[in-house]
Amino acid sequence: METSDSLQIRCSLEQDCCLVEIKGEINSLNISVFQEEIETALTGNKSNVVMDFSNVAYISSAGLRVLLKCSKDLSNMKRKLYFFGLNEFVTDVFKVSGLDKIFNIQADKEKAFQAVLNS
Amino acid sequence: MAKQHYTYYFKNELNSVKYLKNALIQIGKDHGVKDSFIQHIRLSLEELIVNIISHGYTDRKVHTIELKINCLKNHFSFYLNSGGVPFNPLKFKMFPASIKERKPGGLGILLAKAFMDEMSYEYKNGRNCITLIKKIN
Repeated sequence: METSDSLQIRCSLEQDCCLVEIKGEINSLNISVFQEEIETALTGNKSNVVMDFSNVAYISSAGLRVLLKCSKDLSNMKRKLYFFGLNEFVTDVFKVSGLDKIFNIQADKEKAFQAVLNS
Repeated sequence: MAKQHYTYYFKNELNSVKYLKNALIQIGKDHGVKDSFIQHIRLSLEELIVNIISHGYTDRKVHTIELKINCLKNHFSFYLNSGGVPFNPLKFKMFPASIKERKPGGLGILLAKAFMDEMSYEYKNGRNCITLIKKIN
């Protein structure tokens, strides 16, 4: 689904995981759509979730709060959450906020799915 | 020669923030600074402005937030001026023990501070005045 403010979210099943591909920016203007889309993607299946951030150009604190809620909700369902492909800016944001210590972040898709297998 | 001083006004509605991104990108191009420099500035300012819009006013009236930007050789400085509830972002804890301890809005302020080199606050003549500086490396 494409929204205003250049955010696209696509979900698919891959290697028994819910792969969520996000393109564009996650900011205060599109945050409610982002939250709704992510929640929709994660219901209706019981898989672990791998989020592809390789095309996420920008994220603000609003986006981080949605991801935190997502992580908490998944954890309550005994499901795990993984990220890969963070660019330098998004990596800095995760580090400054301390989320790099909470989230499982991998360099690329292969490593992310390997991490799922190893869990 | 690129312009050195810029002034922008934002209404206290979230939609007004969308103009900030392109304004900063243009300033970045005018002054030949890196994209990452501008992205850090954008995040800081956006977090503060969104915070003001979301929490700064208790009435339903239209208010204006003023942003002044000065682009100098070694640094950019920013001056955010707004009415509403007195709020000093510097009083928020910078490094809480865990994400769970942060108050709503605290994460945005943490990011705003982290991506600037200096931040100061003053409540003057009924206005919240935040000054920020980002050095050009």
